[in-house]
Amino acid sequence: MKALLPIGVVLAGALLSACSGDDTTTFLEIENDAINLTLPEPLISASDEGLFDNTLRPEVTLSNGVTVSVNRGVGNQWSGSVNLPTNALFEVTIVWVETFQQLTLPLASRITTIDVAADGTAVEVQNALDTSYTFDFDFDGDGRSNFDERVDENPNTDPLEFD
Amino acid sequence: MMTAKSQKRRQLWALFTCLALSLSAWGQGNNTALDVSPPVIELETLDNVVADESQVFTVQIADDIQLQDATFYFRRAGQQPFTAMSMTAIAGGGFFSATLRTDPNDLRAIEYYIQARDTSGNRTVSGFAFDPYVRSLSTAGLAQEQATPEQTLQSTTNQPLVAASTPFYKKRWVQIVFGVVAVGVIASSLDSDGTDTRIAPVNFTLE
Repeated sequence: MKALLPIGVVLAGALLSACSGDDTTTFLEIENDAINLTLPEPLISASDEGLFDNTLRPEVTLSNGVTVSVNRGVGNQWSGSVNLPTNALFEVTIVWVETFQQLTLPLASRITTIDVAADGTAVEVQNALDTSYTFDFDFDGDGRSNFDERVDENPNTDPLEFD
Repeated sequence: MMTAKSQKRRQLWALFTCLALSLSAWGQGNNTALDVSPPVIELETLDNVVADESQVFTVQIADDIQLQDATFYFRRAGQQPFTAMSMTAIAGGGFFSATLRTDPNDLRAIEYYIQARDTSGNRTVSGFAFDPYVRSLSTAGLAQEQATPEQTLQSTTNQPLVAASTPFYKKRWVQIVFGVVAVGVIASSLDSDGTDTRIAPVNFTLE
């Protein structure tokens, strides 16, 4: 009888284990505060001056390959949502692009990191809070950035042409 | 051979003596009177145990002034002279212990008595060379079978008391439940290695 005891314990354990069974995906019902990503001020200022005429939009992609679908709200406000696995860090790349002459022209970008904790709460990693954007996209390779050439009032500058 | 009744009487006598010693010491105060009180030995005997590679004997000894030493005298049944062994103080509270290396196959009983002396030369003996305590040894299987009908009856009638005094973690059903849960948790954690994905909604705002 005593010899059967360990076998019974193992069988019971296996039964409990089987209860946890197959792969599971748990969707956490959590209301995260939105991760607030700042806007590139020079770009928005130019937009406010009517330069871009509602042709600007942000493209937000994550290091796991997911693209966040972003919609424009009131004024210069965009928002989007995405489901992410917990307990992981993700690099977030924000690229502001303009639809220009039927092309998607990148103007400014910024990379930051977010941390999705085990309980589902998500925060921007503190040491990644460098909110500055870079404007060094140069489509035509003429040494002047796309942004510079777009805001330059000189009609002879074109971000799509080496000049 | 001592009966349980006589052992009880002996323990009561030891307690009484201890109390008397304490009162005596309290009454003496700082007087430097001669110490004529011997140590008091408290011993709970084990009459029948399973033979193993060692046998441990533990005793509690108190003295009103200063205890000098405790000696354990023993012999195997059939031997003549007793062998002396110093008892080692363990923990606090005047507990002393002696460990006797034994052969698990040697089922000869161990006959023993204990002597305690204080620094004034007073001496107490628990058990005597001519009437020693006896610890019988048996194999694991025999230990249960050799329980006397009286012991069996006593353990049956006292069952609730015994159960109440047993720590919960020593109860078999508690150990089984803990075992099942522990095995389940381990198996579950091994099984679910990275397969249990938790997804959280993350919102972004650009403004």
